[in-house]
Amino acid sequence: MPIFLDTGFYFALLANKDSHHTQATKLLKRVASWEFGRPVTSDFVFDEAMTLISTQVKGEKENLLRKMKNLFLGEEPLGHLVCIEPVWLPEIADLHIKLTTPGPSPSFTDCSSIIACQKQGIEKILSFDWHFEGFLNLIH
Amino acid sequence: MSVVKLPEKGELDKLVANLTLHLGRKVPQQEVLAACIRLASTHIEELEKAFAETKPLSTKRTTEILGMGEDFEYTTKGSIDEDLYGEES
Repeated sequence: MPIFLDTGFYFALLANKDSHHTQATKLLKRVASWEFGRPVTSDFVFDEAMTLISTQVKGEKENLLRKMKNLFLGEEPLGHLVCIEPVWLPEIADLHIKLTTPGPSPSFTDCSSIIACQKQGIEKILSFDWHFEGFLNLIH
Repeated sequence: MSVVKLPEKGELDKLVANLTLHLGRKVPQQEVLAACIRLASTHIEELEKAFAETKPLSTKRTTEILGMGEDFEYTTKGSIDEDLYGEES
């Protein structure tokens, strides 16, 4: 049974100062050996991870962007990249509409991850984001 | 009865021959195949590894990823959603 890898895990691996960095490096060894199952992620998560670096990192970003690209698209990617299919978009949008409140709400990308997991029969997600609680088994 | 084409029929012949040696009697090919399917059904994770487009990472690659971390400065409001989408806290 696969496990879905969320944006925060990828970012924490590259960011030594991230509060989840140490935990992410510990989890990496278990992800790498497929202890949690076959790792899977999505093109939307790739988008978020790259955008996070380009918008939040101060100073030189090119090297970090290359490293992030390598984690997703390198010869040995961390997880299999699932592309969000156009036919899933109405369900993703409906979930996003349903879960959006005046307060903290999951992003459209979070909703795409939930629907992608449902479509692929994935029950676990490696994430440091509490939005997935109640939808998927959270590994963190 | 259904017909399935095998790309490597020789491998099945070898398996049946090997099994014949072990058992001391011949088992029909279709029974061997049926047993293989039953066995594979209980080892789905190994089957998944055989057909997956990705494989478990090598030790070299895992070490390489562990060495990718950098001490860069970045701004954060506490969560990725807040950072990217300006979510209220």
